[in-house]
Amino acid sequence: MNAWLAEHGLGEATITYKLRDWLFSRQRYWGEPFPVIHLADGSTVLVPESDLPLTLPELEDYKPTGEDFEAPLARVHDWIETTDPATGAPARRDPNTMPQWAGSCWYFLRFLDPHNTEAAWSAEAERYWMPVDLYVGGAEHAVLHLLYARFWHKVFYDLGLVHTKEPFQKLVNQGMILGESFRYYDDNLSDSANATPRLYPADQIRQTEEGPVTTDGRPVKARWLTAREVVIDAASGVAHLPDCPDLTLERVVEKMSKSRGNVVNPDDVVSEFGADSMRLYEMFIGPLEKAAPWSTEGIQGVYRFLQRVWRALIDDADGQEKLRPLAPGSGTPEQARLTSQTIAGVTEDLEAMRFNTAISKLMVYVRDVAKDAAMPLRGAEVLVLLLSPMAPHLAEELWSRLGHRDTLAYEPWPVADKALLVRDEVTIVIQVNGKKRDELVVRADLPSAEIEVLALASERVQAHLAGRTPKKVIVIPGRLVNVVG
Amino acid sequence: MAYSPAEIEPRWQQYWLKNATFRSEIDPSRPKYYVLDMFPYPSGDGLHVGHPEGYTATDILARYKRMRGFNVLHPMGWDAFGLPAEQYAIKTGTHPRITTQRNIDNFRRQIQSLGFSYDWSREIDTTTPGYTRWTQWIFRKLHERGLAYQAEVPVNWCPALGTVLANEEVIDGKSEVGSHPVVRVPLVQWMLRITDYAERLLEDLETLDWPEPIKKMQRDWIGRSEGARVRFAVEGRSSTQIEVFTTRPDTLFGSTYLVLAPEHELVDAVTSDAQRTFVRDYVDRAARRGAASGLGSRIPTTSRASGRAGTPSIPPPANRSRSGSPTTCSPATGPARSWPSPATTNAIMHSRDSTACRSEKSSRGATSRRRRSPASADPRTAAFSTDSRPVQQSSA
Repeated sequence: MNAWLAEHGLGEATITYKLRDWLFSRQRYWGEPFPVIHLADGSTVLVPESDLPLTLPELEDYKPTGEDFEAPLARVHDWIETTDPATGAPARRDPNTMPQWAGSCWYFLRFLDPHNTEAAWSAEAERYWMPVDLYVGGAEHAVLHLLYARFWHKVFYDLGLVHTKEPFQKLVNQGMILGESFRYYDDNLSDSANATPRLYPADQIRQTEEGPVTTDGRPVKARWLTAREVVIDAASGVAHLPDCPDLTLERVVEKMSKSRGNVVNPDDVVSEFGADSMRLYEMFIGPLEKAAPWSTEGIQGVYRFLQRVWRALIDDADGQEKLRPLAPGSGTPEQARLTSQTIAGVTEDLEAMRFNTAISKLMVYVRDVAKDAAMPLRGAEVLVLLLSPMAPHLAEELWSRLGHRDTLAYEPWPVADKALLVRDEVTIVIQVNGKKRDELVVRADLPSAEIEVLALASERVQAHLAGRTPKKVIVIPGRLVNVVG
Repeated sequence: MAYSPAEIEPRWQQYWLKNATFRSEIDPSRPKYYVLDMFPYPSGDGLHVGHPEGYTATDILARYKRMRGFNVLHPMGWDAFGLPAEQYAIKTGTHPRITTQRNIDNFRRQIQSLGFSYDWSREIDTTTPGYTRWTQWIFRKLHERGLAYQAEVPVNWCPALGTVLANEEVIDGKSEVGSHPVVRVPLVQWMLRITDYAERLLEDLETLDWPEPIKKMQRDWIGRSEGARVRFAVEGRSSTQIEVFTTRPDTLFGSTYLVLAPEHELVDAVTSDAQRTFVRDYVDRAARRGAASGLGSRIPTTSRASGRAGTPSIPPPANRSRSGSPTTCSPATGPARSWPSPATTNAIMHSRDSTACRSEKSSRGATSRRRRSPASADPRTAAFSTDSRPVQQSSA
C-alpha cells in the first residue's frame, strides 16, 4: 500500500511520534532567566559564558500588570534593555524564565561535585559516581521529570560530558500514604451552632448530584472526623463518636488533604513517638510500592517493638539504666541458629527492598532469641546492627552501650553462618492426583528416593490409591510429593 | 529510664552532623553506590508523611550499603524555583527568595529530625547563582547544538488576573484562583527539540531496571507509530490537500470521511457557507475548552492511542443531508466527507476497523465511488477522535 501511495504521489511510509517538542518558557519571575539577548534585527545571541549567571533583577512589585500577557520581567526596563557586548548595539533580554523542570533535569550531576566553580561537574566525579544506582520517588514524576532528565542526559552524552547513556539505572516508585478519616451525616445544613441535628450513618444516605440525601430524600451534610476525635472499638474495629456509641462512623481512606483534616504532620509523629518509630512505621506499613493508609494504632505497634528492643538489652527496672548481663558468644545452638537465620532473612529482604518483612523478622527475633536463655553478646550485636539501617538512633545508642566507641555506620554487616541455615526438619505435603492427602515431617537432607518410599507408605495415600499402582511419583525436595495413580 | 527517643535521637543527629559521619569522597579503592531521592520542592506546608517514606527507603539502603563496604553517595537538596513562592510574593510582596529560604530551612530541620544519613556538605539549591549559572550554561549548550529554538505557541492568558497560567492552574476554562475566564493567545516561546531524541529515549528504556508500568507510560508518551502519510485532495479545490497520518494504510480504500481538528488551518478553507456559523461556533467552543485543564486545543498530536475521555463531541451529522454537510473531500480513489470535530489530531483518518464494518467492506470495491450515508456514521467517531492526553508542553 505504501508503495502504491508513493507511486501515485499521494503519500509515503513514515514513522511518527506523539512526543512533541518541549515548551521551555514560562511567563514567570521566579525561574532561571534565559542567557540570551534579542537584537533589533530579530536575531538572538547567547550571553557569553563569562557573563553567567544572568541573575534575576529585583522587583518592586510582583503583581501582574494586567495589561498584556508578558512576563513580569518585561516591566523591568533597566534589566530588559541592554546592549550587545560584541557590538554595543541596543538589545533586549528575554522576559521569560525556564520551567521548574530545568533545575531537576541535571541536579543528580551537580550532587557529584556541588562546589565546582570551573565546571558544572568534573569528569572525574562523573566517571566515579554515575549512574545513579537507585532512584526513589513518587509516581507523579513517572513521565515528565524522568523523560526530560533522560533527554538532557543524552545530550550530555553526545557532548561527552557523561559516560552513561542513561542517568537512573534502577527506579522505584513509593506508594502513596493515605489518610484515614471518619464520616457521618447530619441535617444541620446551615451549620448552626444552636441546632440539635439528626445524625445519620453512611448506610442511610444516598449520594445524588445535589449532594447527599437521606433514604427519604432529605438533604444532609457530610461531617468529617479524624482518628483522634473518634472512639474505635478494639475488638470490632467499629468507630463511633465519643458521646454517641450508636452511630457507626464510616471509615474513609483517601489521599491526605487539609479539607479532610487527615494530614499527618511528621513533626507531631516525631515528637510523640520519635524518628525511629516514624521510619520503622513508614516501612512496616506495607510494600514500598503500594499505597497504604496511615494508622495511629500501627505506629504505636512499632513504638512498642522499639521499647522491647531497648528492654532486651537495657535493664531499667530500678530507674537506672544498666546493660543486661549477656551470655558469652553466640549462646545456645538454638540461639546461634536463630541469629544466623535472621541475618540471612533480613539481608535478603533489604537487598530486595522488602523492608516490611525485614522488620517482621526482627520482631520475631526479639521475641524468640532470649525466650529460653539469656541474650548472648553476638545476638545483641547482630540485633543492633541489623536494626541500624531502619532505626539508626536507637541502634547507635545501644551500640555505644555495648561498649563500642565509634559509630556503627561503617561496621561490617553481619554474616550468617551458612552451616546453621540448614533447616533440620521439613514438612512435606503429600498429594494424590494433585489433592493434599497427608503430610510428612522428615529430615531436611533426606534423599528423594527415601521420601518417595515414606510417602507411598502413608496409610491415607494407600487409602486414596484404593489398590491402584501409582503411575508416577513426583518428588519436589523439601516441599511436595505428588502421587499420580 | 525507659526508652526515650526524645533524648537519644537529637544527640545522635548532632553526633552525625558534627563528625560528618556521612561525608563521601571519591575513593577508587571501594565500589560506589549512588542512592538518590527525588529532591523536594520546599513548600510552605513543610514535609508531609509521604516524603519520608521514600527518604526512609533510600536511607535504609544507603546505611546498609555502607556496612557492606560500598562508598555511598546519598545527597539532598532543594528544587526551589516554583509557583507557590511567586504567588505568595504577589499576595504579600515578600521576595520569593526569602520565602524559599524560610521553607528550605524548615524542610532541612524536618529532614534532619528524621536522622537521614545525607552528606549535607553536598546540599544544593537550584535557585542559587552557583547553580543557575550552570543551568544557563546547559541552555547555551542546547542552543549551540540547535536543540533550543523559538516558536509562537499559545499560552493560557487570564485577562482578569493579568497573568499567564500554567495548564494546571486552569480548570474548565477558568482560572483556578477566582474562576476567571482564560483564553489562548499566541506568544513567542522557547522550545527544546526533545523529538530529535524520541527514538533513543524509547530504545534505551530497555536497558533500565524500572517498573514496567513506568516504562510503558514513557513509551506511550513517546508514542511511536509506523504508518503512512497520505494526502487527500479536496473536491472542487485542486490546490488544497489534507495530509493525514494512518497506521493502517491498507484500509485506506475503506475510508469514508476525514475529521479535522478545530484548530486545523484548513477548517475555514473547506467549510461551506451553509455550515460556516455552526463550524465557527464549534471552533470557538473548542478553543475555550482547550484552555481548560490542558486538554483539547493545543499542539496537535497524531494518535488515537492513550486515554480518550470526556470531551463532548458535536453530533455526527446523522440528521443532516449530504448537501448540508460542511464540505466534501475527495481522496484519490474514493470520496470522503469532512466535518469539524472536537479537539483531535491535526487530521485523523477514520478507517473503519474490520469487525465493525465487514459487511460494508464486502460491498465496496477498492475503487468504489459509493458515498456513505451520513446517517450511518459510526457513533464511535466521537470517542475515536477525542484524545484527552494531557498536554506536555506547558505544565507548571
